[in-house]
Amino acid sequence: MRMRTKTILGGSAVALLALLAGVYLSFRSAEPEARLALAAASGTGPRAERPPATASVASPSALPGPGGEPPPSAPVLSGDPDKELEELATFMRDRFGAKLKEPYIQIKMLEDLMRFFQKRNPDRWQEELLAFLKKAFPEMYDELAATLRNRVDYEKWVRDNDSYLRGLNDKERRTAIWDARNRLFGKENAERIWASELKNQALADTLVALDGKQDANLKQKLSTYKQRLQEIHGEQAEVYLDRHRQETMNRFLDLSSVQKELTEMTPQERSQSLRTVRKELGLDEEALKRWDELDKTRDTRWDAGVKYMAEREALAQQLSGPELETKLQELRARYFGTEADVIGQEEASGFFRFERPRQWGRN
Amino acid sequence: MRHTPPLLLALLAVSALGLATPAHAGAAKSTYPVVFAHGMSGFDDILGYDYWGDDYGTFVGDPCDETFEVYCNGDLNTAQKAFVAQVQPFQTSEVRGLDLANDVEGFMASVGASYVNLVGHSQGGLDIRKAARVLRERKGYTAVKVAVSVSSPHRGSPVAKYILGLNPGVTSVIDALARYYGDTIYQPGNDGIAGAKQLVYNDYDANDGRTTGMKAFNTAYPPSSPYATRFVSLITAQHGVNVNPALYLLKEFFFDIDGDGACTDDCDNDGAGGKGDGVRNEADDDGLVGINSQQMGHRLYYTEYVGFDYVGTDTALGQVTNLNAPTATQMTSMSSVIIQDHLDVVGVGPDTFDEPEFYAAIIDYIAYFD
Repeated sequence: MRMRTKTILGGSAVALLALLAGVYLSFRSAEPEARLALAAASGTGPRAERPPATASVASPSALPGPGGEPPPSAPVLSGDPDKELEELATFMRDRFGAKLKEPYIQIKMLEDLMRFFQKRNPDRWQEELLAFLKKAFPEMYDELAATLRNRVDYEKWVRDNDSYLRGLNDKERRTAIWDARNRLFGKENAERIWASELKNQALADTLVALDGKQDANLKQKLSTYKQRLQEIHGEQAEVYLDRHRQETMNRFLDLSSVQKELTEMTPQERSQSLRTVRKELGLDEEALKRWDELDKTRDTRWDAGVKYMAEREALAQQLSGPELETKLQELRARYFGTEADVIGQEEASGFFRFERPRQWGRN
Repeated sequence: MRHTPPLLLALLAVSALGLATPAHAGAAKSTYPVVFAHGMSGFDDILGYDYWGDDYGTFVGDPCDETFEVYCNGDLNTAQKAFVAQVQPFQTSEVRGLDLANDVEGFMASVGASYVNLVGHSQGGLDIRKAARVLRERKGYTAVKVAVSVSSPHRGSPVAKYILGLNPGVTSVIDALARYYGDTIYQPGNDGIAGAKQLVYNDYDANDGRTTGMKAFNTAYPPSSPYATRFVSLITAQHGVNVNPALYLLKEFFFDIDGDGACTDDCDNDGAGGKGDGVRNEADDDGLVGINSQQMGHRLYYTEYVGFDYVGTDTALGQVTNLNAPTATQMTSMSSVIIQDHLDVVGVGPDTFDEPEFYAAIIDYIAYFD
């Protein structure tokens, strides 16, 4: 966890340390980090070191932001303690103000400020932070102060109960943690602060439930999965899928019941089923064609693996020691080409990749 | 020495306290997608925490692309692409690296990417080296642009050897790993003992007919240009009461790594390359990995700013290209060490470490080089 209270420094000592560190950093910035011209075309070779951070602020038009709107430029802190806080307040209002009614955004802003004030004054950071909130966000002071208090209490609760929580099983731990969150923040706020976690958890629970469904086949499970994705993410379902299509697909294909069903299919049925899963989860035709090719490549690899393991076993019965290893090197080179050395290294470590189960659509 | 203007010097001085002006107000978009590779345990969670989330479960690689979107990383470019890979939670990096290569291969097929960048935390930083090599051998070109490790035990971890040796406080390897990482270890396909042996520098058992450990792994999967265009690493260390409670207990009552001494190989036989300097209770490890184990390729520095953090190359230390033979300075220097514990830099909270901004700053760095 973050360093907070390790060092107590008076104002002059802080300034001195800061100056020394600044001198150090300026020395480092003088290291040969200057850009070097490269003959290599862009994207084909390493670029020269990028320059160290400077005080300049990038052009707003070049910056990312919600809906294409650039985020606010960060403040140039003047060094004057009073003015500096005004600049910080302006920055925080610009960055968080529009969404500050959201408890999650409140927490994110407060954590930014905790870092700032903990470094600025490790002993009295909380008082300074509250004073800052009162000045910068007078209309929301009570709410923000309460959120800060709850956030600090929650961290303390987690630290104090670490051993206890580790002694619980997953379900008990989840219940205990949510009880504490609900008690400290209130149920509604807690659920908004940890909304992402709740969605992740709901998806994980869905997958567990699907895997245990004895009376449903792959198609039915896929249908339920899609429906649950829609329910869990609501209006954001498409955005979620756009960002996490691969993960969404992988987690479904990782279900042991899905793998079992795929294993029991004929190659043609399996190929069609994999295509259906990918298409239903939103892959376009070009992507499906790339996957068709990859599936074929993987089938070829596994076919070679089966043959290799059989020949390997036969050789191991006839030969041993360096003589065997020489023959195995030849065998691996014949079956696996450029990947042969990697497979040889794996075997030396005790790992035989073709003894692991084939995970359809995954390896 | 280049002349540094007084104004810049003053600004840098302020920045040393983390109160400084920012260099940017958001990350540039990387040309190629960024793949996140989790450490031991990992993927879904560690004891209920989302691995690549902030402490509230929001994925660090999700940009905000709608005006009023709340649960996203506002420091990313709206068009940033990222992918969370999934490998066997407890296994050797031979197994996990192959899983990762397969996962990346599938991702590339789905999105039509020819190149990727890889970011690995802890053991994930080892896995990315193997994945980079497998992808190179399969595709015939260097498919990985920038490979970034964070808090990774490239030269092993004494904690792994301590656990394998069933030293005081440890009655079972699996139970010990379960205590720190959760019950995932009991799921099929996991091999916690093999995973722990991976993280010991030398071959753990000369008589078991297999060569395990980081020394052999480093020889097979070096941070070399055929496999990725650029290898870089971020190093963490912390001590005292701010360390995660579980790691704190480990350090205070059972085993505190002395991880800032240099020597050839594992000369003190503690399970990690290098040795100690005789002082354990200092910020020479992050609870699980010593600083002398963590540098791979270039060492990066991380500076917090009010507006947007910055990651850059610490050029003074040079690259570690032979992971089994870094220089004494590379093993002992505290330069650019991030004062955080092993779990602070992923979604294990609550703490005030800003994971979204940290990874956005890393992506900004990647974007410059990919």
